[in-house]
Amino acid sequence: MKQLLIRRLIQSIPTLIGASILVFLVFTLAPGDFLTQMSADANMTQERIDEIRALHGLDQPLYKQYLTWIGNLLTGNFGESVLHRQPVTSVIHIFMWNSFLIAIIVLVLQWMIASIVGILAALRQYSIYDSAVTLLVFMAMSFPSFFLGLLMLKFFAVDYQIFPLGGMRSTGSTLSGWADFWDVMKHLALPVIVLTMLNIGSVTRYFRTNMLEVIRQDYVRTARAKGLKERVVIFKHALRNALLPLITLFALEIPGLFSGAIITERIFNWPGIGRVVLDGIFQRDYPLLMGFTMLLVVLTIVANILADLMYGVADPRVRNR
Amino acid sequence: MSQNLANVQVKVRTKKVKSDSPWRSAFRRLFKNKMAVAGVVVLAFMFLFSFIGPYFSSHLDAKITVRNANLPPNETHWLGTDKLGRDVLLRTMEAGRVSLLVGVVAASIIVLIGGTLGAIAGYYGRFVDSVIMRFADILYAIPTLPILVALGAILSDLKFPPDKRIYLVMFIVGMIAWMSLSRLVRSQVLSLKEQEFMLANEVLGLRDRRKIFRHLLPNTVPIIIVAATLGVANSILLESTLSFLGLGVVPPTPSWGQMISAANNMIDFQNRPWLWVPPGICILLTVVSINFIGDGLRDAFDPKQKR
Repeated sequence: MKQLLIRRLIQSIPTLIGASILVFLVFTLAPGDFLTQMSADANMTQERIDEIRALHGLDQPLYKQYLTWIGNLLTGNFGESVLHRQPVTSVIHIFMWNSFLIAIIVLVLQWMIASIVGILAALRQYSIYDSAVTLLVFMAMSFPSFFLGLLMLKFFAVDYQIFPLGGMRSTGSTLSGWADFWDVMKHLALPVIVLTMLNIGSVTRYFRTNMLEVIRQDYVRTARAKGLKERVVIFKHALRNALLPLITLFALEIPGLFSGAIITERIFNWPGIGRVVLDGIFQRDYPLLMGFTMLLVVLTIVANILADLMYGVADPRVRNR
Repeated sequence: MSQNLANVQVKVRTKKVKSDSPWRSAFRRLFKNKMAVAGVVVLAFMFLFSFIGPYFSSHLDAKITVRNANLPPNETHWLGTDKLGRDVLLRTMEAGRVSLLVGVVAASIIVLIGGTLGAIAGYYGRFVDSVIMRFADILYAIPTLPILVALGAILSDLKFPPDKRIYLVMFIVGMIAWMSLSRLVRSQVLSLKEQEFMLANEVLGLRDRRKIFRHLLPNTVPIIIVAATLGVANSILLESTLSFLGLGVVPPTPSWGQMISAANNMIDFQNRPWLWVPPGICILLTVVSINFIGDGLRDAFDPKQKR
């Protein structure tokens, strides 16, 4: 186990270096930076621009810029966000938790609903219920996120005004305690519903497929043959085995908790990291984008390793492979 | 009498030979799948709607008439008009051409890059394999949506002429989505190259290029077809997202995602749903039907894995 962990950690180093070079090149070789916009300002002289350029180290050769950047990243210095005039780490820290709040609720809802719906569909394969679930799953997987968001917003916030139009709290809200919590919950409802609907499809499908596979196994037939109750057969013998491959899926969803939802947050005007990143893209806030992308790269790699390890812990058959 | 019998026998035999072909049986299985058939019908309709539909529209000549701006749906304009007085139904059809085209071309890029790199990695193994697959790992580790949007924004600065932007979008989408196919093709090639027909190729002294493209890749066609189908659906979604954010296809070229970006205007969003709901439904119908077809194809090509 420990050996596997160490081996995977070492293997991930080249990936990490490669990804950092790629991210660095994409944003550094990009035509135009925040200085291009500054130089459109008539008050900016060429000397002043050069001065700022030197201040940000942009006059150095490319490889030196990269080494400086990666060295700073390793010491936890992500640089300063151009847009927010704050260290990138504190910008991420401020907004990420708003995204996390939505993501964690979505994750719980999604797995709860998907497990129930998926298992029931598998137990009644080819029934009308099963076909309806399959159809809905495909709809969910095919909906453009922004279109679903807009439809829900139009229906629930504009036409029937059940939920607020957007944001995290009512404008000029001075509420506190429970009233404030309730206010946030009302603003949170629509984005949570939309994201749950969008994400639920694939998990439901996995539950159904895995359950179908397990139910056909010999040990399930054995369990039935020795006269166990159907409930025990399904939940104790079948479900526990069907859950194994899902551990991987679950671990791979961990980065999503922190990445924010760019499109949904924009549509519901939710002050999360996804919206900040989108603003950063439009305003060419490269330090913020590079720092955030690298953070997600690390999270993705860690989640992959975690997925393998958790699978090994849960299933003795794949351990020490 | 005996001649008759012989005839019957010949008939029976030809029939049997036909049904033995794996392609034929795969397609028979596909057309037994109701959802896949429904997908084919809807998708065919969407193609006809987009590519032939405009010729049946009576608004082809009178394109921009400000006098008719922002009309709600009525008898002459079934889906109303936009802020320049253009017929929304006609525009939805023309947008469909762009969206479908981007989807198909981007999927072709995915197949071209993913298939070739996967086959090369699997065939040569060792150093070449680890370089290519490490590169795929790296691209896998970078989150799709942020990098897609960032690339869209960055390449917007290249001052592409608006009518050429569509090629840029195809390129971006194709470049960030080829990795999963290359992994599939690689693992397939790894097992194929141990089989006897590859030994025969070795004996014949074929060149590597011929072995890869004429003997290995044709055997991976089933997975490539499935991946390409799902790739079209995925590319249409990615394109619509980019265009919705104003970073993909830009006016005057319409695309479904770009039409939905009308909803960014609060008044259009609240009071003129005919501007953005029809293209959204078109995306949904197209992508759902392609996903059904892709799923049906996967089952059809792989009868062992029954679900």
